[in-house]
Amino acid sequence: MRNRIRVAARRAAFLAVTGCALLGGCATTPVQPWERGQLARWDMRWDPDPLQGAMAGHTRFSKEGSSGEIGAAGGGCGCN
Amino acid sequence: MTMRKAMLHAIGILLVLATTAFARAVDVGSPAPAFELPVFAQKDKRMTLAEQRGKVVLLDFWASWCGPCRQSFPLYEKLRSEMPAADFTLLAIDLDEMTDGPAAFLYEHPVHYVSLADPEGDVAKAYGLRGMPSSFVIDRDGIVRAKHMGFKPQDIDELRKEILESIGAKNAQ
Amino acid sequence: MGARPHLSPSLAALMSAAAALAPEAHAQTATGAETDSRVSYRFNDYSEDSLAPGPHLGDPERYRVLSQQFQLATRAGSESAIDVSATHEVMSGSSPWYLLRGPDNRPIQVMSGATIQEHRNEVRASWTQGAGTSSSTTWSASYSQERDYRATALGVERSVPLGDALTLGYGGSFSHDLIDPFEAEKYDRVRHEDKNSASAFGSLAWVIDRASVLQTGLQLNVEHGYLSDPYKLVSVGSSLVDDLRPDRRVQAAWLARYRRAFSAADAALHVNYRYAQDNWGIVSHTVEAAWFQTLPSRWELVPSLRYYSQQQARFYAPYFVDAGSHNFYSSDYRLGTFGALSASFNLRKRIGKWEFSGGVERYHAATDYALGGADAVVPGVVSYTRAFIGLDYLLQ
Repeated sequence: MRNRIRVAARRAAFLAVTGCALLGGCATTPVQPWERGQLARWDMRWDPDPLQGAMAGHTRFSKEGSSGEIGAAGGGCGCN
Repeated sequence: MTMRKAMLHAIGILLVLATTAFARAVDVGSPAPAFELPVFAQKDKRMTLAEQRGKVVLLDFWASWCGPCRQSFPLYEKLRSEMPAADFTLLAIDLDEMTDGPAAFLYEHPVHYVSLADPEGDVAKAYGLRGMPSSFVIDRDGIVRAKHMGFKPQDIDELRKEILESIGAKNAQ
Repeated sequence: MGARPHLSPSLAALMSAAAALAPEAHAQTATGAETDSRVSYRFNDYSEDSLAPGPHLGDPERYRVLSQQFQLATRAGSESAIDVSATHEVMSGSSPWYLLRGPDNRPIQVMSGATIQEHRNEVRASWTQGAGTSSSTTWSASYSQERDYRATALGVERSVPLGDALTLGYGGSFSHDLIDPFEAEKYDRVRHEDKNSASAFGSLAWVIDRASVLQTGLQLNVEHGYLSDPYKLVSVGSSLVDDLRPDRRVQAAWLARYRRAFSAADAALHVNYRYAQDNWGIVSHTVEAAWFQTLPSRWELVPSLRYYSQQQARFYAPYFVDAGSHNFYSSDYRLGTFGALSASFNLRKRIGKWEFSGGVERYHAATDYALGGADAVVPGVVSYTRAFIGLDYLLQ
């Protein structure tokens, strides 16, 4: 019983440390709201040009064997 | 390291994180932190919050990259023009790190109120900003009466109410 | 006329647009999402290279697709955004039909003689709740139609912040596709088939520092139903049989995306990686890198490179000597081993509220580009050139 508590407590400690690492990084300084100017750039988006990303992705996706390209968008198609 | 030590370490780290991860928040009812900042694009001219003592101040923290700020500027200008100049000042603090962004922004959204430059973010940190933009209504005695995070056009009505209340309120002393 | 892509594209659309995940969350956590309000138009010209020199039958001129896209994206109220788009495509050209083993063991590519023009129409709509706040939910739906194919898809994705530096994204989508191959009687094809697809994803986006962000995600797709290509045949021994693939396909993928701003250069770097594996035996790697360079007078230049590699499906072969122990057969090059390298160059120019854009992509696939090499050449891999021009009008 004592052993189980020890193991559980050790796990909790590990989770706590990992958790704090996840919540902003213990080692890194959190980025303040007013420091996010560079992150707000249009070219820092995951997909700055969604229409083009969709067309490029749709094209490749119909010519390759793996589906679900990053940023693909399109309908069912008679792609050959 | 024993399990107990590990636990204490973990709790210690969490406590440190809890206090440092969040900038010191400025609550409603507490004194607005003092500051002195240069006027944007006018290196030699500086302004302080203390100079505004006796007037109600709407303090707006903005940046050229902040989307909602585009909506807020013309609405703030309109709000400012509604208020008596003897009782009210609108002070904007620009948090851009570089000057070409805000210069273009101010050209596209011209206003008659002053923007101060805080590129290092020291005043933002003193006010414990949690998001952009942020605004504070400060009464004639320098006490924070209201604070807002983010901006939606509907916020103007609430701000107007808070400012008028502060203008109408008798001095504490 | 054409082969079916492996996953319903409308589903792929929704789930990978969803996999575009927590759209601009890193800046959003503090700022509030900036939803562009704009009207956009794009014209794309996709043109495949003719069949590589070698024995063939039929028209070596491959596919050409001209497509137009229209999109309206706008805020609707203080915390909602809607996005509606329509696509119209005109497709023509021939495509690989089957392979024959030639006298000297070289494959003879037999092309379908399709010269008819085909049209495809698609509409998509999505509604985002909480646009402008750090948590948001997006509901989307799409419908695509062409002469022999109809697909309907629905999807939902959600993005929530976990602390100051992390954003969690997750979602799922579902699609139902109907296939009614034409000239079914004439060529003895299946008459009416359908397919159901479902997918789910989860992702984490991390703001590393003020200039860089990293996102990692997992995706799972499941398809069930008719997954074969009704327009393709396979040589088995001395006879030609229908392309026959399993009726279930399960694919898992892991992706990572990195974005870094270089403010001194007024530029940003994008790097993406994707690994995918499915129960048909296909394993693929994708690496992409793009450089977004802002220049004076509101010009933007975006050169980019992409490398793709896949290993073949277990039941792929250019031709089968005999039925043997095989339950499934396909000689569709898209299930074969190959690699592809592509380079593209895009330009954008802003004048007032108008944005003009254009670009070219050159894609080249070859069996020997594949990681780990290949046993034999996969006939029919395609290379293409794609060019586009675009016009946007910013509404606010």
